[in-house]
Amino acid sequence: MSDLSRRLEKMKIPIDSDLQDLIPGFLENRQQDIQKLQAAMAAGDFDTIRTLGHRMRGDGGGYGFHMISEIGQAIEAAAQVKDRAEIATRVDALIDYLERIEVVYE
Amino acid sequence: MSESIVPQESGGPTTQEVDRRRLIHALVVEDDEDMRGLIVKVVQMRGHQVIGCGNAETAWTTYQEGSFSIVFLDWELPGMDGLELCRKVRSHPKGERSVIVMITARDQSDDLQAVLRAGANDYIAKPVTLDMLKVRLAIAEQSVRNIDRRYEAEDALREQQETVQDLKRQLNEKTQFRDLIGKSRSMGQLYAQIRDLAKVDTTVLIEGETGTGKELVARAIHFSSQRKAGPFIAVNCAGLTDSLLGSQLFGHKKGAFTGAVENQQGFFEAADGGTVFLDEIGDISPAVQTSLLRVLQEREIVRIGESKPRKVDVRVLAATHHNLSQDVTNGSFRADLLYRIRVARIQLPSLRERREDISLLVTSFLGQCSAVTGKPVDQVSREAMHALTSYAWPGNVRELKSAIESALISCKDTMIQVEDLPPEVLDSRVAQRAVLVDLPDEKSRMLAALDQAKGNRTLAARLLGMSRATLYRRLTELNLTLR
Repeated sequence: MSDLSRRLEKMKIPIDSDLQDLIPGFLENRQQDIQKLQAAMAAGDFDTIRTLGHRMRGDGGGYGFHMISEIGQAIEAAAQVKDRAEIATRVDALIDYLERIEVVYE
Repeated sequence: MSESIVPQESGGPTTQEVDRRRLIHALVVEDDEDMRGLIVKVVQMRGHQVIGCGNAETAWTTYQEGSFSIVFLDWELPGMDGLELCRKVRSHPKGERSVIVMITARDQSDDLQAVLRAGANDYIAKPVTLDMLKVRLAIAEQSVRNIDRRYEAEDALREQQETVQDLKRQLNEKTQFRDLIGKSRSMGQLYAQIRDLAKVDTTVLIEGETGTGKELVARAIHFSSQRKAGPFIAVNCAGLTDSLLGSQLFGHKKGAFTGAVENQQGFFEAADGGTVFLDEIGDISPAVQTSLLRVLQEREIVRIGESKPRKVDVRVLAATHHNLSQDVTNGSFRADLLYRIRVARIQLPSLRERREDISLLVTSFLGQCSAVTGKPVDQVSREAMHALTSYAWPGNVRELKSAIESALISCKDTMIQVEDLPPEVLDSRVAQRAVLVDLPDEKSRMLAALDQAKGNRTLAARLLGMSRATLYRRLTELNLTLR
């Protein structure tokens, strides 16, 4: 599978239907997180990056997006050691993930 | 930042399910909007009411104003942190009834100990999952139910204790009114009469044999009336000479008579605002009767040796063992005074008219006397009690009290025996038996004993000096059939 086709492939994420009305807001907040992370990286503000990563780690799994928790944990850890490259990789991974997911309510 | 959220109609349990489970009010304190929204949603899914707060300060105000059974509390908050809020909630009067669940992503080894020390019931480490939140909420609900049950049990216990106290008080009211003791119908009527007379300010004539408790009744009326804060002065009119009684009741001016060395106020002035109890009023002289009539009519007294009347506000209660109507007929008591003092009338029953109260009185006197003497006597043998209830008690309750005091002195054990009782009480039993012994044959004696005991075979057997079984046997042998 080519990189392009893999990137276009949608990931189906099963989510509890009780959370249906919360999910659009949750995903919108993650889009905002990406902007905040990019701005913080530009400013070298590792505290903000760590806080954003910490929150993503805490929230993602609760909504059923375990990948967001994993990415958040990695961003939090990278921010603590000020590893810019790792942070950038993880932010790209988040962008990619958010583009590819397709929520399926169960 | 805070938001009020009401339960959703769809998705959650039905109204009936919530009713069965009990509606819970929950407070979610979390600065992360997404996490707060998630916990609020989980609580709503269980059909509960929930309020979400973004900081501890707002949450503390909200907590104090509401009634929250469950508090979800994030540790790391801007300003006051979750641990401090947890301590504040626990120290609040309502805090004992709240289940606190701390949530944190701190990952420190001593976190659990810290939250437990702060008073939290449970601890959730982030990242959380939806299932984890649901399970921990169910556990918190169970804790709320346990707390509810504990409080319900405590409330029920308190209610039962109050009921027991009420019943005790009601029982006490039926068996006792102030210092008067008795559960007989006549005493019940007396208590009701005293309560009625305590509400008014009329003069009352208390009649009864010696020792029936006339002064106790007067005290009960006074201390149940609106005058209870005022003085209660009891005067025994029979114990004083005519001139002395007049001086004591109304007072005198210095030099009014030999020995009047000072101006002296009398009992009526001293009792201003209260009650004067005139015991043995049938024994007062015509001169004092006239002065007394003036007090009752004009509400004023004149001190001996003075001419100026003085106003007094006194309620008069009087008592006598005389038949005052008879005294009026034979001219020794003023009719107008009798009508003034007999506005209301209490007739005290003699003790032999309320024998059912004797055991209650005996128990009460035993308790009083044991406390005074330090002798731990708290029982009366059946035979002694029988003797006490059989005796005629011409001196009434006063005589009974003396008999118990005397028996207590003689008593060698914790139980009063028949031989501890005063001789007059025993003599009456001997006299009763003597009558029976005088009868010519056993059949007559048995019939007389049964007659005397009003058909009570146990009592008849005692009078005959035999056991109940022997009495039955002899009745059969003598062919005596009783209805």
